[in-house]
Amino acid sequence: MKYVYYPGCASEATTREAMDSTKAVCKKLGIELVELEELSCCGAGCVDEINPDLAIGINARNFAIAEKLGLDILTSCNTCLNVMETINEKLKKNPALLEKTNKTLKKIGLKYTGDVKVKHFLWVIVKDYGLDKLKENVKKPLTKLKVAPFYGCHILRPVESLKLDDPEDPKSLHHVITTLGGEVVEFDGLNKCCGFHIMLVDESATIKLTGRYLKNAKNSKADIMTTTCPLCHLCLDTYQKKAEKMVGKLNLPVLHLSQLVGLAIGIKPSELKLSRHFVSTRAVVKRI
Amino acid sequence: MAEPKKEFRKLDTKFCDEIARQDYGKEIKKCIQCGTCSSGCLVESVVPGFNPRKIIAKALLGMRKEVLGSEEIWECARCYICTAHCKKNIRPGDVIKAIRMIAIKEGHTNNKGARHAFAFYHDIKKYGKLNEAMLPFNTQGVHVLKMTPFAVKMILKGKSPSPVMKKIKDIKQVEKLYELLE
Repeated sequence: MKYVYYPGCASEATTREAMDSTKAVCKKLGIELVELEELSCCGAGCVDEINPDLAIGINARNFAIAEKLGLDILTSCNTCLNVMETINEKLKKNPALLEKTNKTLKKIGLKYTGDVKVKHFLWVIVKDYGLDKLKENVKKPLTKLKVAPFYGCHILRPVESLKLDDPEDPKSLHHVITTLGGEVVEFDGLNKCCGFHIMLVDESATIKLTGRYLKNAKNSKADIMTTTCPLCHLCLDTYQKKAEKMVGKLNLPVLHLSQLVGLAIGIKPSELKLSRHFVSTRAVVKRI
Repeated sequence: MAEPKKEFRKLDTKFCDEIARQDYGKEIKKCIQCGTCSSGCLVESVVPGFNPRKIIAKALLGMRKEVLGSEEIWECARCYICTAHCKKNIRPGDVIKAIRMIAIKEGHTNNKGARHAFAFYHDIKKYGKLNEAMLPFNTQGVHVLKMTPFAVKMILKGKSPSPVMKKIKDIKQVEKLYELLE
């Protein structure tokens, strides 16, 4: 199993622990990640508000580079997944658009035939790697932990591009938690929005949303929360103290999915960079 | 024929055609104002006055100036719940995106939402990547100073990235794409 790794801008900067832990887990599981210095930002759904053709162009360039290597793309960011898959699907479904895009790509010496799939780390673990195989690798089962899954939006919606889960009732992250030996905690909002994309436009709105879901998970007696998205993690972890001012004491450690898998398959917490979180994970890690 | 009332004279009945010409807004005219988008909207539940159904209603009525100049079009968090729920498949989240695109083209860029989009646009041109360290400043301008205590915490946790950016390999290809598609 081999993929081009696309961490996304946040995981290369503020949530670097998401990238480090994804790489550590993939290495341990034998999933080969090829890192390329030439890949650009996907535009995060912002570039297309200014110039949709350019958003298609920069993403098609990334796809063409991966296609040349004959590899699919693995990303550990929900928004990167959403932006890339939405554009990829447009290119695959619309031959005229693909042809037009290729006319542009030709001028930079590239070509895209539509043969690349963009996959999320969660999808790769569930579908390509398989939960049975993951189970065989579990060294420290999370038996004593009640884990609240937070999917985030961009791995679930818009529905056409992202077909692994039912957006109203997603289950894939639940299955990973169970496979790792943990107990899934259901709570209202596990498939809802953390508000990240308006964090810098209207911070109080983001904090209200983030606080609401953290509180719901806490009320459901969760020990920890796990998320598939570094952007959700920024809200749920780094903004948790601010949310506490609105909803009361939370103290709910939030782990990137890659960190949760990493702990269960016996990777050292220091390698998973848990110390970079705002909310301490120490007490929880001790129980594993 | 009698002159239309003053408030109706300001309406631009071509506005929804303009939105429908955008790929993201092409289904706007199918909207039946059922309010499903609004009932599931999470931003509406925390931001008083935000209402995706109303944004679309105003657009359909032709309240061009009011819609394009409003703060609320930048409040959509792009969660796509409205888009997943919409009974007429008009993709309300995308319609708002189409409206933002027209707003930017018309020069409504002196707001946090548009500045946020331009930060990505300019950074990718320059470096191929987003300069995350500068994003709060590029979005909020001097108001970013309010975030200082939080920024200090980020630095202490090693979560604050360097504002000095390394360009991606073959950035010339990206520059060329900008040149060809801008």
